[in-house]
Amino acid sequence: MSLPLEGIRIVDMTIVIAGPVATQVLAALGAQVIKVEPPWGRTVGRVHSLPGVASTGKPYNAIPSFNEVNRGKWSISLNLQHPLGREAFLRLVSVSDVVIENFSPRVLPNLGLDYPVLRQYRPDIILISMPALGHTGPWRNYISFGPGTDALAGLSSLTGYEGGQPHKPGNYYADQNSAVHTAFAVLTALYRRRRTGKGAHLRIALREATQAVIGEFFLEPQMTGRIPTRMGNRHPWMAPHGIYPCKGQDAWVAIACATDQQFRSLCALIGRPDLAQDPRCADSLSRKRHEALLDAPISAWTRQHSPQEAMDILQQAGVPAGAVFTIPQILENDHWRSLGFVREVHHPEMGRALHPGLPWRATGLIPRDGEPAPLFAQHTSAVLGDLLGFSAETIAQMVAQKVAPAEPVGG
Amino acid sequence: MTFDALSDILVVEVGSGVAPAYCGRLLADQGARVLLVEPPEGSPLRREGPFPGDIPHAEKSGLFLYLMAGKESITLNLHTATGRALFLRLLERADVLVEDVPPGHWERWGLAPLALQRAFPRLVHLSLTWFGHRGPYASYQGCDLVAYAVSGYAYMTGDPDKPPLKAGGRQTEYQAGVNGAVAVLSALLGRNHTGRGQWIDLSAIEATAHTFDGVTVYHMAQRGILPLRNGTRLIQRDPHTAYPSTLLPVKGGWVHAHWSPQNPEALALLAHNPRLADPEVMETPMGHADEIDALLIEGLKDRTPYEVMEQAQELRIPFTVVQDVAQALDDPQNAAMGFFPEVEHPVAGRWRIPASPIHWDDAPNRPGRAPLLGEHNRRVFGQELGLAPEDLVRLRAGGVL
Repeated sequence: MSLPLEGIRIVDMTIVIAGPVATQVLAALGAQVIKVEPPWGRTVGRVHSLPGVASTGKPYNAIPSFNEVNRGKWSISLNLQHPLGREAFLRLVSVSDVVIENFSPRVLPNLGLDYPVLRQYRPDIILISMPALGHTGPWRNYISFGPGTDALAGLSSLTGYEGGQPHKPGNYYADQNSAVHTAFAVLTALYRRRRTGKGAHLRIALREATQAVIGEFFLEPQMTGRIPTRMGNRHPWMAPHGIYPCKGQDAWVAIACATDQQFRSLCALIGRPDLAQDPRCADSLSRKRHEALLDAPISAWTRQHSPQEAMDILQQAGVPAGAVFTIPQILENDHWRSLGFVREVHHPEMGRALHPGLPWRATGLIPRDGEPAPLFAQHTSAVLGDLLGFSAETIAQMVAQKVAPAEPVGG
Repeated sequence: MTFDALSDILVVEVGSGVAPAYCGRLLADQGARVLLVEPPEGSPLRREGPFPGDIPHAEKSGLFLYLMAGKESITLNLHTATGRALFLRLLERADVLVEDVPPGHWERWGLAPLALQRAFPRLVHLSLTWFGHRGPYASYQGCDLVAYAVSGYAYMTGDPDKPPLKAGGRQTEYQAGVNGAVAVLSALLGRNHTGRGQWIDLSAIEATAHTFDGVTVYHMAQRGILPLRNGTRLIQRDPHTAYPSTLLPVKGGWVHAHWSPQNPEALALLAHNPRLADPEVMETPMGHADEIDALLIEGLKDRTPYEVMEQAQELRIPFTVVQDVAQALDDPQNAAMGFFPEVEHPVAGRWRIPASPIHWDDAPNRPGRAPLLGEHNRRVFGQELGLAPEDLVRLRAGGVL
């Protein structure tokens, strides 16, 4: 069974999270993704180690965050400022379909490797750039990681407890979100090239990908003059709509009622059928106005149950509810297991680990999402020799001169 | 906008939520023809705000105008046998079906996904659900808050001494939508090899839980460390973790404060305090998080968020402003990128609608406009499926269209 991207080769210059997640999805779909890593190694600053990770003397091969988002890829390292490194890179481009980078917009032109140059070596190349804020405009050279782009986009201003300060929407939401948008862009460009023969240079701005997933909020100030703000776990019209305490420590269940019927079922279940008759709660408009009234009676019931119990009982009565799961609970959970969401991956230096696979199932698709991340420069001879035809002597010279270093230069 | 990337693709979209609507919007932006199949009373999204002047109107929902930009609208009652027969005729022509019909409903309609695959082997059929089509929760009811909880995201978001906190908006639905678009394009490319479509079963909980890669959440969990919510700081609590990455108050607003990989000492320059470059702090920055926050708040308190961002960026420190959506709507960067172009709608009027985050070097980036309810009935059912005008009248009177 062939994968959709079998035969597609991607030169991956991306670092940190957003770019690597995008190419990891493409690798799972069958693309050969070759990471071209900078000679100084894999970290943007400090190596994050975790307790329990064996020290092999090569800490750069045991960076958890790197190994999580580069599964199924190949690795070489090239000094692009050295003539031989540049030649190898351009030869690689000439036999590839996609080049992807997430540097600030100045970096590729400064290296003399912008789109017009790449096209000379591969006329239908697809170049993907992932600037934080865009390729033009007064803030184009501002640097930002994902969470900083959520702040500029407005998502942080919409996330937070009612009446409280702005908050972060999870740890690296913008990176992941822009990564998936980027994977979509790459696939679209490949589809278009197949039809038209045309390559292209695409730019996906991280900040704009966040703005796209809160798009409706930008209509609100235009249409109503109001600036939308934080509403905690509340909802514009659903009530009740919240996260309630359960039996146990830091244990919670989410409950949301969209219809009067769901609310009546909830009231019956928690032993408070009177609430369903109360004129303050009988219809959704009134309920929304008096939603604070509902917190105590609902919590009194949820505190008697574990999150899983509460979820099952409520759902069986037709009330939308979800346990607030921790990751260990997800890994053990029958539903998640039946989805086949988690893959076991064996990394030669970090051992066995569980990772999320592609988040969907499709008839006839067996994704390639169980392979580990590459060791640093693991595929140097495969790429430079087998693929690009450099002689063994030249490769040895490139490794020795640290044009294609076998381990990070300067630690 | 007619753009050639996906202009040979016909998408049929059937849905009531944001997930299929956003997936369809992404495909429409790339030139696909997207037929939105609405029930005769209109998509439920037409009833959700915001509305101009807070007056509900089926053609003026801000959510609908945004998500349906560039699509065509036909009405069809799938609860009738005639409606379903017409729907099957549409599927004969379609490349892609995007839907969020709950598991079990298709079967009741005689349109089980695997039967559809047999009838239309080239069809790419994307099923978007909260929990997926199999497993113990397949029949459970969901919404954004519920999916956010079940996916593990809620537990890690918010303050440690408060309940878990949902992110703003409808993120699990958007994640299902954008991952669905990836799955659809993957299937279309695969169809080029195999000649066969796919049935894709994609849940909002999986799309959302997929967003923890690279954050070492799974690694921590497997090593017995429970990733805990940590306010606006990162969940990693190892004292050696880089810091800051947090939201801090400044004069009249908030900034997102982040350390600089290139120049970790630059914080001291920005905040005029050498303690922020002290090796004792720099060696274990997360271990000094409270102190770093206090020093930055004190050092930056007389500067506005925009002043702080500008000065930090000059020092190559990635600080940004926490903008509200009105500020983002009007900021000079969005203006230069053209991200909020005005789109004219015959009933709703002119509004600035978010463009696509995907910019091609050789094609414009402009959303189309949202369709009126049933605007394309005549074209689709009359011209393309060949129904006579009197048939259309009869079907409308019979509640099918």
